[in-house]
Amino acid sequence: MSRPVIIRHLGCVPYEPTWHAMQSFTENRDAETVDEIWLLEHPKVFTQGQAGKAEHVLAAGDIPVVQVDRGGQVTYHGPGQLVAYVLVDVRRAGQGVRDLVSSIENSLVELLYQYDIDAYAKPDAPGVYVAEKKIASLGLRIRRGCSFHGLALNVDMDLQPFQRINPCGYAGMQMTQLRDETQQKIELSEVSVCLRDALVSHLKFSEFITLTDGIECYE
Amino acid sequence: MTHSTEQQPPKIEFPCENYSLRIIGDSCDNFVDVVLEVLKRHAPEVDPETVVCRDSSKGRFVSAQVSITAKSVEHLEQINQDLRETGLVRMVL
Repeated sequence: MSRPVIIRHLGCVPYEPTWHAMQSFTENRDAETVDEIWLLEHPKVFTQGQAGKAEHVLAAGDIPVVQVDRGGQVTYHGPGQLVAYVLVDVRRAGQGVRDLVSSIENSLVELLYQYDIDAYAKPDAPGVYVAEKKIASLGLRIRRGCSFHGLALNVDMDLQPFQRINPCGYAGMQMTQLRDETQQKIELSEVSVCLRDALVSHLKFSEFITLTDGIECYE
Repeated sequence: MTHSTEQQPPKIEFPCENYSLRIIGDSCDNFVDVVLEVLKRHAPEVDPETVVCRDSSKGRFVSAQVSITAKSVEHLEQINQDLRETGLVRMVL
């Protein structure tokens, strides 16, 4: 049975308009709307989840903090981190939210295998880890049976801003990235293609359609 | 309560010929042999010539793609379990 997904490569886009665009997409989609995956980077920003405690933002400094509508605690986004927003009608797919989270984690683990990195998910803490350091974060919101928000994979970035927060609410949580684990220069565009393929297969889409037009932004 | 308008989740119709399995595990000399040995127990039709292998960038992990005739969900689960019990396989798709 055909189950396509639309892929959009958005480049580096500001956080808030992109967030509002995915809220709007989720609010307005219907039973026939094709699922989408948006691949992008954000300029430097801290985002605080609904359960987020202000004390986990230790010293934001010049980086803006945005209060958002996903689960989880505070995290950081910045250039060199690959973000994928996963806009899937979970109810229509007959999946549970836990299935979706596991599929996203497995996509990342498989992608990291391709770079010779022995990564794993943890049963008790969402995200993907390499030797107890976190390489990718997950945060989803379900509304009207559909997911939005998604994952952030540290590829080749400045990790210092993570030290200004307790990432995901864990004091002293160590972060790592693809470049440090492979000891090689990594092209984000190449990782983006690998992540696309991994998500398409783990989320059991039959095919993907790449759209090059941007998203509708709501300031 | 059931909603008649609700869409049914996509279902695989069994038996499903040319069901593609991707098996990812630790690279070693006999990875394909071990995988094939398990597959042949459950899917004797499997053709060793059609196995496509891909190594990770430095060869630490390997991914093998192979087609079988899937008989049921239980059939696939049994294959998955037996592959994992080899200790070499980390992920089956």
